[in-house]
Amino acid sequence: MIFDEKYILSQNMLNLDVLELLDFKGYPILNVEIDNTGTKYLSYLDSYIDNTIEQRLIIPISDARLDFFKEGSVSLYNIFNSSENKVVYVIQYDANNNQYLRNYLIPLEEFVSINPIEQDYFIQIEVDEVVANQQELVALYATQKGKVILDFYLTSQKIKTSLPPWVFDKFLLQIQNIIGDLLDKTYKALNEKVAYSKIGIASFKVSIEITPDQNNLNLFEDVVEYKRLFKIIDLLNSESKEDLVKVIEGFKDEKFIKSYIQIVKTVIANDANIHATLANPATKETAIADFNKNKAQKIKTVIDEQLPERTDIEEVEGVFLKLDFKVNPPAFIIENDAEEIFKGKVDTSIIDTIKADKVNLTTDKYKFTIKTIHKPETTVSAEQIHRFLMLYNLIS
Amino acid sequence: MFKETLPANCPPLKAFEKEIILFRIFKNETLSAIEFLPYTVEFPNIERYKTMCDAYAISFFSTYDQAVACYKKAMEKGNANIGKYIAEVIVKPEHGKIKITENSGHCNLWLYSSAEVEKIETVRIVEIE
Repeated sequence: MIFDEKYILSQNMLNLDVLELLDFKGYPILNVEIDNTGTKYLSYLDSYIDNTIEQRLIIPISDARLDFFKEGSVSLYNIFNSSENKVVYVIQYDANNNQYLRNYLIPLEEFVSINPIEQDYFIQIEVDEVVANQQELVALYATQKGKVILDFYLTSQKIKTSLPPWVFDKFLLQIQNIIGDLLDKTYKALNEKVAYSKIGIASFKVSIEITPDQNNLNLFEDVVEYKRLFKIIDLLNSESKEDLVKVIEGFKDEKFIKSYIQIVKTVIANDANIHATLANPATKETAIADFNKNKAQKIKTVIDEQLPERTDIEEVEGVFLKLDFKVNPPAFIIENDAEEIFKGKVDTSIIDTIKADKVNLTTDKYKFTIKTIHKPETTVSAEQIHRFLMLYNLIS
Repeated sequence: MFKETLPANCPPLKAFEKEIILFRIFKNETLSAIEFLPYTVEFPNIERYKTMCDAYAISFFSTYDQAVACYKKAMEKGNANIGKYIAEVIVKPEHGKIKITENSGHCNLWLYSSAEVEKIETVRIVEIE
C-alpha cells in the first residue's frame, strides 16, 4: 500500500529491536518489537515495494493486549483499528539490509478507512511455545536493561482474576528474603539494588531486576549476582536430599531455608506451579526451574526427615558485651563492628583461660573464633543455631 | 552440532528429530543446497533478526496446500524472493531438529552441520500454478 506523502515524518520516531517473531515463514511477517524505553510494538509486514523496500505497519501495544492477541481472541485487523495511542506508524526499511529509510505517522481515524490487513488474520501461540519464547524474552530483556533478571510465572487454581495476599507474603517476600541472603544485602541495600517490574495478575507474573555492582561490570561476563542467584534455580529444581544438600553447601547462613520452606508449604497448600527464569545480561545465558506440588511434597519429606547438621567456623572482630559464669558452660554475648549480636556458650577448652583473663567488657576489641552448629529448620520445627566461642585474641 | 551458530536456547526444547514428509517452496526446479538457506544466511546484512531463533531455521509446511497458501500470501506482499516451486521432501532425523506449529502447519528445521541437504530425498518438485 502507498501512503500519502503528507504523513511522512522528518525523522525516525521509533528505534526498534526485534523481540519476538510471532509469524515467521521464511520471512518476517509479524514481530513483537521494543524501543529503548521498554515499550512493545506489533510490527506487521505490509508489503515489499519493488522488492527493494520492506514496509511495515507498527503500533505500540500493552502486555495485556499482547497476551490477549496471542491467545487468538482478536484479529490483527481489529488490534490495529484500536491502536492504543490512536496512530499507526509505517516504517520503510531497505529490504537488503533493513536500514531505516523513512516513516509515516497515520492518524488512526484515517488508517481505519484504509486498513490493508486481512480481516481473518489471527495468531494463536501455543502454551508451551509461550514458555519457550519466554526464556528468549527474559534473556533479551536482561541484555537491554543491563541487569540480572529473575522472572517468575506462578499459576494456581486459587488465582483467577486477582491476587490473594499469600502470593506476596508467602511467595514474593520469601523470594526477596532469599535474594537478600544470597547477595548478602541488608534490606536498605536491597532497596537500591533490586526492583520489581512487569507484574501481571491474571496469573502471577513478576520480573525481579538486580543491578550488578559496578565493580562487577569490568568482568561483566562473570556477573556475580547471576552466579549467586543461580542457587534459587537450583533450589527450585531440587527433588532429593542429595540435590538440596548440594545447594545448601557453601553457604554461610541458612536463613534462606526458612523462606524456602515457606515457599514449599505455599506451593503445596495452593497447588501452585512456579516457572522461574534467570537471565545473565552479559551473555544472554538463561536458566530455568519448574516447581510444583509434586516436587514440593518430595522436598517436604526430605526436610522433615531432617537435613544434616552443618558446622561453620568463622572469625568475628568485636567486643564482649556479656560473660555469664553462673551458667554451665558459661555464656557469652559478642557484638561485632556491624553491630550484629552473637550469643552462645564458651567452649570447655577455654573456660579456665577466660576465667583467669581480665576481660574488659564493651571496651577491649578482640578477634573471636566462633564455631556455629546449624540444625536446619523442618516444616514442623524452627531452625536451631548453637554457637561456641573457641578462641579469642586481643586486638586493641 | 548445528550448521549455523544459533542464539541461546535455540532450537526450542520442543524441537525434535523425526522422519517426516514436508513441503518447501523452492526458487528453482532442481534440488540444490541454495534451496535450504535460512533467512540469516540469505540476508547476511540484516542484523535485526540475528538474535531470533526462527531466522536460523529452514521453513517447511506440513501439507502442499499450506505451502501454496504461503506462496500466495508472499506474492500478495510482493515478496519476489519466495520462489515458485514446491518440493515434497523426506526430512530425516539426521538432518536436524524440527518444530511444527500445529495451527498453521508451518515447520522450522534447524539443520545439523552434518546434514547433506543436496542429498535430501525428494518425492517431487512442481511449479505452482
